[in-house]
Amino acid sequence: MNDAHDATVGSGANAPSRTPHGLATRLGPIELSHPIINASGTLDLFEVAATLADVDEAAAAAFLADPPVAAYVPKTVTPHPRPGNPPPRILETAGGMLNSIGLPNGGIEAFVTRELPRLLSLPCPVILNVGGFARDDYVEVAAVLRVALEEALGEAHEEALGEAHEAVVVGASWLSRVGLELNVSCPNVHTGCMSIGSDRDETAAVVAAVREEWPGLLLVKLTPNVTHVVPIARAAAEAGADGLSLVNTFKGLALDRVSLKPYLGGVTGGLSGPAIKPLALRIVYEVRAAVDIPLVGMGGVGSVQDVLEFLACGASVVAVGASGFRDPWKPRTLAVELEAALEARSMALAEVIGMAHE
Amino acid sequence: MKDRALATVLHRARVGSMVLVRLGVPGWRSARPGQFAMLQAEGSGCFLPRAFSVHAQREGSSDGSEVSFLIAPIGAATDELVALSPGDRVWALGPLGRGFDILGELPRHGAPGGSGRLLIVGGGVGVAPFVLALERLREIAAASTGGAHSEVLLLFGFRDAVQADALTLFEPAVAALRAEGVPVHLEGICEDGSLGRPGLVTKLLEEHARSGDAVIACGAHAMCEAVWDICLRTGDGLDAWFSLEAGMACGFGSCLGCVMPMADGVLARVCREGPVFSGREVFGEARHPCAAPDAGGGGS
Ligand SMILES: Cc1cc2nc3c(=O)[nH]c(=O)nc-3n(C[C@H](O)[C@H](O)[C@H](O)COP(=O)(O)OP(=O)(O)OC[C@H]3O[C@@H](n4cnc5c(N)ncnc54)[C@H](O)[C@@H]3O)c2cc1C
Ligand SMILES: Cc1cc2nc3c(=O)[nH]c(=O)nc-3n(C[C@H](O)[C@H](O)[C@H](O)COP(=O)(O)O)c2cc1C
Ligand code: FES
Repeated sequence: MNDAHDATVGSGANAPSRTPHGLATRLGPIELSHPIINASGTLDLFEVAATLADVDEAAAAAFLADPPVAAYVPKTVTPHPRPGNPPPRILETAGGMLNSIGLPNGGIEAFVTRELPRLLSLPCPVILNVGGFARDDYVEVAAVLRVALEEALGEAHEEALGEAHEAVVVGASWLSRVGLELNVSCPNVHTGCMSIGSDRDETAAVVAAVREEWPGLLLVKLTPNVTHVVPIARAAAEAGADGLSLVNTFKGLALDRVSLKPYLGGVTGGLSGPAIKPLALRIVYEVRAAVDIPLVGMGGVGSVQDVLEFLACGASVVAVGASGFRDPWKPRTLAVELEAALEARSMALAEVIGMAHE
Repeated sequence: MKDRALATVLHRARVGSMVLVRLGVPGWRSARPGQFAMLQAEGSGCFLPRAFSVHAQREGSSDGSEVSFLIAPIGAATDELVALSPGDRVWALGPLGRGFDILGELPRHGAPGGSGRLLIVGGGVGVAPFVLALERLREIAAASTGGAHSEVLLLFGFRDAVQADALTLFEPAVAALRAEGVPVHLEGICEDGSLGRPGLVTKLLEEHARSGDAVIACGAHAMCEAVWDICLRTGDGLDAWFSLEAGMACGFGSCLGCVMPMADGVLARVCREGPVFSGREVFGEARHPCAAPDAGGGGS
């Protein structure tokens, strides 16, 4: 699974640290220097920095001053603190891994006081990922975040508030720096979340309700654990989503080799990694054909070829998930490689996006 | 951790049932005993890297430091790593985690409240981190300030004679520590009796533990529980630190996959809060109901 590029392109301090050119793009009101971000729950910039700081404070500061992602998506926050699922939480499986993390987090109150300030100190935009168990959970968290952001960064632009996401003046307010991603698709909690995202009407209701509260970029992260993603994608778009993140993990099960009982503490888990790439690509491809809002593609991305394929299927931004566990600098490396790959094809980023459909 | 480096295999040697792999790691920053690295053979068929304790290290020339790992082949990733030959390459990320950082602070010779004896307990491949620990103890002894440990006892448990070959790895480091004037006692025991009487390492610990000693340990979870149980039974002041294992995806605090419940019920990440925890933190003050003296021992 170590892709060939690993061998030739260094990482970390060895990786080219320049920002790739010609890859600038945007997600609604948010400008991105390139189209590669991280998938929620798979990269903690501050933990990487703390780990670097153990041996080199300067390297840690440099990492945060120039993060390896075009925008940073932190782990899901829920209204109340959650300890997460009991261990064991992860297991490598053929071509990927199963996880049953269970959305551990300190809850929105702690998030606003402890996480938000340092997130806003990052030089890149952030896309805050919110999870819940009922419609009101999402609305409540969005409202709390909006108030906190207005306090920290000033009120959103007048026009922007009036006409939702249409009239946003880019750069005029926090709307160009902070987005929201609704996680209606976590398979590792037993109520809400994925059951909301598996239901077209529930998804539409959550999105519409959050849309009322949230003037900025609104992404909805959908689950692949349904027979047809397209109707849910369409419902989310019609309810006011600015973009869709495709996909969360596929619900799976692994047994303990010896006892033949479920291995993971949470019993079932979410499958991610190269094993799910063809499944995720298919979903991005189908949704692109049916829905006309930007897509963030993810599922097994580990090489520049994977990035090109998600773009070609119709994603305009690509997220690196579990592959970042073996290399936290992966998104930056892929962006640099993408620049070279586009140059070799004499193509602009915009020309590749959706080309599988032509 | 500095950054992820493509290391080169410099040397590979079979040591009984385990394999010692020495890597040349560009940009390696010196590890503390008990710290680990995430390793993955280049071109690996596995998706994720795996965690390995730093066994020994030699500070770098211009092409990097020499860092050794002792690997027990038990599955796909470890099978790949032990099959490598000199010249092959390995992705290495480290050093990571909190090691046996208390080594420099333990009561030494003549210190009030402590006997100054240090007991090092290892089971199977759990002996891996202790060459680096001996090296650190030698540095502490050589630095003379604060004195040395009055005695260091290495108590190692193995499954059988083949696994017990790992004892040979400790001879140079033991000799070096003795040369600094620290008495060192190295004793092994095998479950099948091939080193004399059969038994688990906890049997050795029962014989040697005294109030006022300090213990550092690494091995199967059941062994660690049994060691802590002995510490509690030996009475006040016998303190212990354990290097624990958990499945890891990242090693740098991002996946939240490596958590282990602490005595107070809080889940701690083995990769960041650990892998070394104090006995009090992880097992608490109450004796573990299943920690009978023979509950754990060698194995890996
Ligand atoms: C901090 C730390 C330090 C370590 N230091 C060392 C070291 O110095 N030397 C060393 O050899 N090892 C060390 N390890 C252990 C090493 O990381 C593991 O042996 C390695 O991950 C095994 O990988 P593998 O692919 O070979 O085996 P895997 O197939 O991944 O198996 C790993 C473990 O998971 C269990 N497992 C996997 N799948 C299942 C299943 N379906 N059902 C039940 N059980 C399953 C296996 O029984 C085994 O115990 C350390 C671990 C940690 C956390
Ligand atoms: C360990 C782990 C934790 C995750 N945590 C979250 C999370 O908190 N919120 C979320 O929306 N998705 C979470 N995901 C899903 C990823 O963001 C991503 O959608 C999925 O892993 C597919 O991408 P990949 O194959 O590249 O990993 C998690 C995935 C993994 C592997
Ligand atoms: S291994 Fe990923 S958080 Fe510890």
